[in-house]
This record gives sequence, structure tokens and C-alpha cells, in this order.
Amino acid sequence: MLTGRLSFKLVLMFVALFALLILPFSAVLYYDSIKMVETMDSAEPLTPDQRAAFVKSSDAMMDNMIFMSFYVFFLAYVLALFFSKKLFDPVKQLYNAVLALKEGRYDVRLDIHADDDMGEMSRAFNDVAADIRKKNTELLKAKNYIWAMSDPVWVVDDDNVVTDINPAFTNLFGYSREEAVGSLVFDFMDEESEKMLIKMLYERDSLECCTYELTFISKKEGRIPVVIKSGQIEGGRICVIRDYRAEAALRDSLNGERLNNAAVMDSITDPMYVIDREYKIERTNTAARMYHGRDVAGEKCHEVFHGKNERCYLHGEECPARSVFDSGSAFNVVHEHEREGGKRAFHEVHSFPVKDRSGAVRQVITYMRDVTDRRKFEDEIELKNRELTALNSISMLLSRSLKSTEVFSEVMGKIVEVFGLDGGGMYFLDEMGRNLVCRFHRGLSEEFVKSSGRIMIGEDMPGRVALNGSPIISADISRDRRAEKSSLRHSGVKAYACVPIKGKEKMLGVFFLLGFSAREFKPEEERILNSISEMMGISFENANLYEKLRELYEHHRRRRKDEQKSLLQLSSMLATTLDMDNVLSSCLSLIMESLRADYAWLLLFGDSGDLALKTATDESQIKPGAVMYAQGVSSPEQYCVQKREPLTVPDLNAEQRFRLHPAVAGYRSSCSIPVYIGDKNLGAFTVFYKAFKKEPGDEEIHFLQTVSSVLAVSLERGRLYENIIIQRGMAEAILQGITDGVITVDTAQNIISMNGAAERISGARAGKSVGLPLGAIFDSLDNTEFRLRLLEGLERASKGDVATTETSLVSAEGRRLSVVFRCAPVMDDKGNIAGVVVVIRDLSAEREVDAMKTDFVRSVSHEFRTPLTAIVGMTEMVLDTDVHGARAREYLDTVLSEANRLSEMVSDVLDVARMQIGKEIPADEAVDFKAMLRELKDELESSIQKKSVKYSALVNGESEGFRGDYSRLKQMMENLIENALKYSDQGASVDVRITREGDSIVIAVRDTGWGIDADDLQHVGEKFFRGAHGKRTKGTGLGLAICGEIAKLHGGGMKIQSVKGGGTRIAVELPFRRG
Amino acid sequence: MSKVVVIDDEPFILMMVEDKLKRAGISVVTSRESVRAVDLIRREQPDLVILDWMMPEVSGLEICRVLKADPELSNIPIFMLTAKGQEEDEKIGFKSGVNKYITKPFSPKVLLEMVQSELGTGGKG
Repeated sequence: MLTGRLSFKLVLMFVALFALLILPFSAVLYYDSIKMVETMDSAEPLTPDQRAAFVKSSDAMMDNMIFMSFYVFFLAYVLALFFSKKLFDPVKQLYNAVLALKEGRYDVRLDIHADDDMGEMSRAFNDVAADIRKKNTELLKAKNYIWAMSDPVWVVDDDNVVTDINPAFTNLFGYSREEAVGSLVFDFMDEESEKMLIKMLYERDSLECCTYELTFISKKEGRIPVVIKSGQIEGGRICVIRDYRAEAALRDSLNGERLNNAAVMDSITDPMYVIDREYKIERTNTAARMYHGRDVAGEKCHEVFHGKNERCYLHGEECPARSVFDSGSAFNVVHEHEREGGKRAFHEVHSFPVKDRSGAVRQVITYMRDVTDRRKFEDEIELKNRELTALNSISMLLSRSLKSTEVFSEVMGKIVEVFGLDGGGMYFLDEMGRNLVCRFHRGLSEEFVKSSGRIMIGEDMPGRVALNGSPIISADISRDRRAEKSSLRHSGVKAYACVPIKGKEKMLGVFFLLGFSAREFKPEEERILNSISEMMGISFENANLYEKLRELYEHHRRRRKDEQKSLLQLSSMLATTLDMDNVLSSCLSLIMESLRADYAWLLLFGDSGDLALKTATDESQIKPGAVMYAQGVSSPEQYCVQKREPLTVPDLNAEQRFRLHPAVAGYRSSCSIPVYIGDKNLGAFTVFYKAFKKEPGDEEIHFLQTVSSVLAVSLERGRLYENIIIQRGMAEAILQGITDGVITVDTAQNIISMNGAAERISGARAGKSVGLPLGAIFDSLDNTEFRLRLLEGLERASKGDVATTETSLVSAEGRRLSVVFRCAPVMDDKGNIAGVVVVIRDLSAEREVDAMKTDFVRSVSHEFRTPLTAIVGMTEMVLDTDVHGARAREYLDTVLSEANRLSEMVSDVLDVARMQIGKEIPADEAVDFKAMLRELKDELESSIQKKSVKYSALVNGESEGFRGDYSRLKQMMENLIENALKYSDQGASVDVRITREGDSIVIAVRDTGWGIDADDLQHVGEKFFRGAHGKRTKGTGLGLAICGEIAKLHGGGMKIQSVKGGGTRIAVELPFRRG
Repeated sequence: MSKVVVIDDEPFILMMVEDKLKRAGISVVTSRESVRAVDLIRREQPDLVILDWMMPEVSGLEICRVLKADPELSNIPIFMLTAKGQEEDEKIGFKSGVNKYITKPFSPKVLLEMVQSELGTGGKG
């Protein structure tokens, strides 16, 4: 149809074109040709034939023209028809496709034939069609969803009229589609919901999507709570209605529980908080609201409780909520909070977790119980407890021992510790009651004790406390008027407590505590201090009592011990000593002392039976040997000897039996003890008392009898030995006089005797060595060789040979001695070998001299050889004319200078020898040290410069008027300075100081040179000693020896101080002599 | 020409020995520094070494021991000049490889003879 219409239109168009264009064009052409014939005719009249020919040709042209035009148009028409076919087909297709779309066949699709405009159009159509198809599919899907949805859906227009519902709507509410569509939405809900919806719609008109909770009225089941979620669509809204019955029921029940919980929480009288994981307080109870004066729900717990912007645990504080969140279990703690007005409050904080089904802690419920009062109470109990503990421990310390030094020192420490102070101490009154003396202290410096260790009573705070008997307790003495004049005022001490220590009747002292920061002493603490002071008083008195008792006991014990000791001493003295007189007088003194007697004597029977005085404690009146009682005269001594028992005479004046010697007439009582051995009566000794003396106790009698028997044995032995002693004394004197050590040993090689020289060599004392094996007195490891040699000698001597051996031994002082010893047999009367005598001669001195000589020869010969080499060799070369002219001159100069050096050495050796043997008499002349130093500086200048030494010399103080040997002193100083230069490296310092020190002049030369090895130091100054540096330098080893001798010549001495690598200082001190 | 190295800390001895030996047509190298003696000897490769025994820092005996321990230098004969005259000192010297022992004071003439004799027999010529 479309093609037919188009074809028709095309034909019409051609006809019109033909009529409008081709006909007028042909007519014009025809007219023009006619006109041209006429023109030609007018110009040159044409023959009719011609004219006819022209007309004819014009007609023919005209006809041809029309025919040609028609042909052209026809051809064009045919072509147009052909091409329009191509155009028409797609258009036709498009048309059909659009029709198909219209009919709902969305799967239509156009073929694309070419890439021209038509192709483009077809492609665009295909896209549109695909789009529509997709949209349609989605729409269908959506519709299916909506229809399949279990939740009711309705669509309402802008006028709130329901335009569509889904089957679920019908299912839930019971209204059919027909019933629902066209109704107002409000028809399906109760009044309250209607009002709310109207209000909400009004308020939220602009919102595209919103949710409301409403109550619908169902056709069958009445009210159904629903939640409507609506979305804006063109011309209305689509709403999904959700059945909310279950949720509402749950919510209602939850609400009920919540109310219930709130009620429970509110019923708790302690503040209670529910804290979420963000540390925000979710809920509180009435008590909490009352406590804070507002509801703190919604605030952060750290802000509420601690006034902090950040969580407490970030500052290292203990956060109960965090603990519960972390651990998942309950947590209890006591927290200190600050109340308004700065008062401290303590709360017991109980926190426990609220967990969800997975076990995670969702919230923490915390309640706080104000335990401030309880805490206060507890604190008081604790304080009380501490007081009691302190008192208890102090009383325990005090009762632990009766030794005051031990106890009070510990107690002081304990008190200082209990009170948390820095120190303290105790002052006790001295015997005069005038001064307080610090006896125990803790935490105090020695300076403090030194400066404040003794205080007059009444002075300073301790003195006042001791005087008044009332304590001084101050929280801060720097602000206390009582401490205004105290020495402690400026010592930095603040807290101070000084409490008197009172005994039963009198003041004993004070104790004090101090702290370097201010501290309040509470009344309870003052009470404790007083209690402690009372305890200490008692303890101190107890300790004193105990100490007195102990002293008494000790005294007795000591006395007993002394007696025994004396007895022991006496018997050992008697056993070893041969000087009887001495022994006897000691014996009497001992007896007298032991028995507290006033006088004692010993009377012995003479050959004639008289009782003569042997010894007495006071021999000024009677001389030993005087006859006291002649034979037959009745005397206490006589009586007791006869009875062979001690006799005590309590009252000599009342005693009629005896005739007393006038020497003892002044004594009141006496006690006589017989001295006898076997059948032989030797005599008796008597002790006299000026005062009345009752019978002596068994103990005393026993003691006296012991003494008596010891005496008897000794007296007898003494007599027996007397002769031997005399003989032996002579031999001894000879032996002691010998400078060689003489030791006698028996056949078992045990020492019988040794003389003084042997004592000196061995270091053993004769008294202690008798009886010891000879080897024992030379038992040091160093003497192993000597002992072996000695044994060999003894061995040979015991066989009758005389053996002489030279060896060395280390003496008792540690010196190695060169010795020669000789072992010779000792024969008895019968010619048998009874022992060996060893004579040891110390050869050390001789050996030393030998060694020194050798040393001297070696050293001197070596030192002399070098200059001699120059003298001998160079002279020879000059004589042999090996060298000539200037060179020969140089040789001779060297020969001269070396000869001079040799000469100096010779004079050094001679000097020291002369000075040592004392042949040198120093000159006595004024010595100008300043001038001497100037001369030395000039002479040594080249050496100083050669070594780039920093040289300084100075005379300090008064040195004028000193007298001595100028040239010797200069020689000494030159030696010292030369040494300093010689034993130093380049650039060292040498410092010479001459100083007046009191009555002396000290000449000191100090260098920063090589120093001296510690081993060498002790030998430096000995002749020819070169030490470790001797290998590096030349010299005779005489310089310092000469210096020492010069110092000695002037009555002074030389001291050497040196550290290896650290320089040397040699100081010569000379007594300041004036003319 | 033979070469002799002389080490002594006394300049006049060096001067004397050098003058005497040079006159006899012997090349002489001297040094006072005992510390560098071995290096010098190694460098100069002399036919004979004359050492002083007593020198600061390193003694002639020590130098002698070092030379004798070095395979390249151990063949060089060594004369020891010394002021030590004791027999035991000489023994120590010989033990250490000293070829001749010349006691100070010595005659330069005798020394020259000894050197010539040593060079004539044991030296490189």
C-alpha cells in the first residue's frame, strides 16, 4: 500500500515536471526558431522555399526536441522507479517492525542491508527495540516479584487512593483486589494510625522514601501492626507493607523487661551504670542520678567519674570497665574519687559483664558503693594495728636482749622505719647528769653526730626535753618557735620529735626522730612515742641492772680465771726458769693478790733448824736470809709445818701460843701454809691481813696448797740445779758472746741450746726452740737446700766427722745470707758421741763486698774502655799518619775530650770512695743557690737545647745564709740535672726547685722522663747500679751515689720518687746551717 | 771493592774505623742507629759487619742474632766491638754467631788486618 502510494506520487511528480519544465522549454525553443526565421527573412528576403525549408527544419527540430525531452524524462522515470525500490523496502520493513512493536512483539529485529542512512536508522531501531524488550522483561519481573512477594504491596496515587495491590495484600488483610483498588489508604487502618500517617505524610512529603509503623485493620483478624516502607513513583507511591506482629510483640515484651530492669536498677540504692563498649554510660539508676544531681546517661564514664577527656586507662589508671571488657569476668576494686569541696571519697566499684549470645561483652554494669566511712574505719583500724605492731615489735626488740648497745640500735632503726622518717637517735644522760650524750643513731651523718653528739642539759631541744620531761613534737621545725635557737634549724630537718626516756626515779635521756620533709604527728603517734619511751626507760634500767650483774659475774669469773692463770704461769715459770728468787717473789705477789692480803713472806728452814726469810712482798725492812724465828721458837709457821696443814689465825693479838716477829706485829690476821716435799720440811709461807680475816674458804686453802706444793718442788729442784746453773751460766756467756751462730743438738738432732747469733740468723727464740728438730727452725721453702746440706753435715758429724759446708740461707728477716757452717760431734765423758754442735757463720757482708768489687771492676773497666778506645785508636792513627791536617786536629780534639771524660770518671770513683770512708771534710762557706743555678744553667745550656727540654729553676723562700760546701753541692745538683736530662726524651720538662721548708732546704729536681722501674727503685743510689736504663745510656752508676754522699756530708738525705713512664723526682733535704 | 757496614753509637769510633778502612780501599757504610741496623745491612749487602755490643735501644748481640737467623744474611761475617772484656761475655758472643771479638780499646791497625784477613778468606773478594 505504502509502495503504491509512493509510486503514484512519483508519476504525478513526473507529469508535473513535464508540464512545468519541458513544455515551456520546448515552446520557447520553438518560438525562438520562428523568430530567427523571421529575422533572417527581414534581413534578406528568403525565398519561399528557403523559408519553407527553414520552417520545416524548425518544426522538425521542435519535434525532435519534444521527443528528446520526453525520452529523457522517461528514462529518468524508469531510473527513479528502480532506485525507489531500494528505498522503499527498508522503509516498508521499518513500518512493519513498528507495527509489530505496537502489537507487543518485542522480539522484532530489522536487517541491516547497507551502511547508509537507512542502515543507521535500522540499527537505531534495533537498539530501541532491544531496550524496550529489556525494560519490558524487567517490568514483567518486577511485576512477578511483586505478585510473588509474601509482603503485601500496594500502589497509591497522589490522592492516596489505592491503585493496585498484590495477592499478599489480600492474603494478609483479606481484602480482594477489587475491594482494595479505588479505596483510600486510610480506609485500611485505625484512627490513630490514620492521624499519624496524615501527620507523617505532611511532614515528610518531600522525602522520596520513608517508613512508618502503623496498625492496619484486617478484614478477618482485626488489628495488625505493620511497617510501611514507601517509595515515590510517578504519580504516586508504591508501598511495601510488612507484617510487624512478631517484632511488635517482642518489643512489647522487651519494653516490659526494660521497665522491669529499670525498676530493679532503681531499687538498688547504690549508684548503678550501664556502660557500653565506647565507655559511654547508657543507663543509670535513680541512685546514680541522685549521686550526680543529674542523669549522666550519654556521657563518657571517664568524664563523669574522673573529669578526664580521655579514657583513664590511657593514663595508666585502673579502669574497671576495661578490665571487664578485656577479661569477660567481673571485676571489683576500691576507687578513690574526689567529692565536691575536695573531700576524698572511697567507692567499692563492682563491675560485671553483659554478654550477647556469642559470649562477647556488650556492656558493663557497674555499681559503686560508697565505702568512705568503712574505709575511714578500716584506716583507723589499720593505723591502730600499725601502732600495736610497731609497739609490739619494739617491745620484742627491747625484750630480746639485755645488751643495750644491740637493742637500742635496732630499736632506733625500727622506730625510724615505723614512722617513715629519715633518722633518729638517743641521748643518754651521763653519770653526772649534766650532759646528754648521743649513743645510738640511725640515718644520721657522722658530722651530725660529731657536732651534736653532746648537749648540755637544758640546751637545745633534747636538753630542754630532758630537763622538763615533756616531749617536743613538731611537724616542721623551720616554722616552730620552740626550735628557734636549735642547731637543727638550718640543717634541712623539718619533722622532729623528741621524747624523754624516763626511768623509775630519774630521767635517763631522750630519743628523737627527724625527717627532711614536714610531717604531722597524729595524737596516736604521739601516744606511741610516749609508750615507746616508757618501754625504753624500763628496758634501759633492766639492761643497766643486767649489765651490773654481768659485770659482777664477769669480775668473779675473771678473778677465778686470773688465779688459775697465775697458777699456771707460776708453775710454768717454776718449771722453766732457773732464777729462783725471782720466781719466789712473783709467787708471793701472786698469792697476796689472789687472797687480797696485805703482806706475805716465805720462811725456809736453815741447816740449823732456824726459820729464815727467803722472800717477802716487801723487803725494805728485812733482808732475805735473816733469821725470823730461831730453832724451837713457837711461830705459826713452825706450828703449821709440824701439823703439815694450813693454819689460820683470825686474831694475832689474841693468840697466845706464838711469839710473833716484830716485822708482822701490825697485822691482825694471818694464814700459814706448810711447804714440804716428801718427808722433808722446807718451811712455810704466811699471808698477813691488816683487817680481821675469818677462816679462809676451801677454795682458797686449795689454791694455797697447790701453790705450796708447786713451790716445794721448785725449791727442791732449784737447789739441785743451782750448781749446774752456775756452771752452765759461764758456758752460756761464752756462747752468747760469739758472733757465729752456735746450735747444739742431741743425737736425735733435737735442739739442746742455741746462742744469740743463731737466734738472729734463724729468727727462732732459744726458749721456744729447745727440743725441736734442728730443721724446724729453718723450715721456710727457701731454705730447702740449706736444710738438706745441714742434714748431710749432721749426719757426718754424728759419725764423728767434722763437716764444713758453704751455702746460703734466707734469714728470718727475709734476707738471703751467704753462710758457711761447720758440724762437729760432741763427745761425753766416756768418749761417746752425745750430740752435734753446729756453728753457722754469716758470710753475707764479705760476699757483698766481693760482689761489689767485681761489679765495680766490671762496670768501671767497661766505662773506662770506651774513652780509652778513642785515646789509643786515634792517637795511633794520627801517629801512623792515617789522617792529616784538619782531620788529625779533629782526632786530637776527640782524644782530649775522651781523656777528660776518663779523668772525670776517675775522680768520681775517688770521690765516692773518699766520702764513704769519711775522709772528706766539707767546706763551710756561704752558698748562694741562685748564683749556683745560674752557673749550672750556663754550663748545661747545650744539653738542654739538644734535647729541647723545658727547663725551669726557681729558689723559693729564704735561702740566704745557708752554709755548706759550694762545689760539692753544685756537683750534686749538676749530677741530678744531668740525670734528669739523660733519662728523658726530647721535649721533656725538667724543673729544679730550691725551697726553704722550716729548718731545712729542699733541693728537688723533677723530670717528666722515663721514670724508674719499681724493681730498680730500691737500688737506685747504690754505687755502680745502672738499672734497666743502663743499657740505653752510658755512665758509671756513681752519680746518684755521689749525690747521696754529698747530702750525707751536709747532714741531710736524699729521697727518690719515680713511676715508670711517669717521670722522677729526686729531693735532697739539708738541714739549714748558718754560720 | 769490598763493603763493610759499621754500627756503633759512638761517633768517634765510626769516624776512626771508617777512615782506617777507607784508606785501605774498603767501602764503608756507618750508622749510629742500632734500630735500623738490620734494614741497612739488608740493603747494603756488605761483605762484613762490625757491631758495637753496648748500644742503646738494640744491642749488637741482638742484631747479630737477627742476622744469623736470616738465611740471606747469615753468611755475612760479624765482628763484635766491645768494652766487655770478660770471658763469659765472649762465650755469649761466639754462641750468637760472632766471628771475631774485638775488645776495646783496640788498635785500628789490628782491626784493619783482621778485616782484610776475613775479607780475603771468607768475603766475596
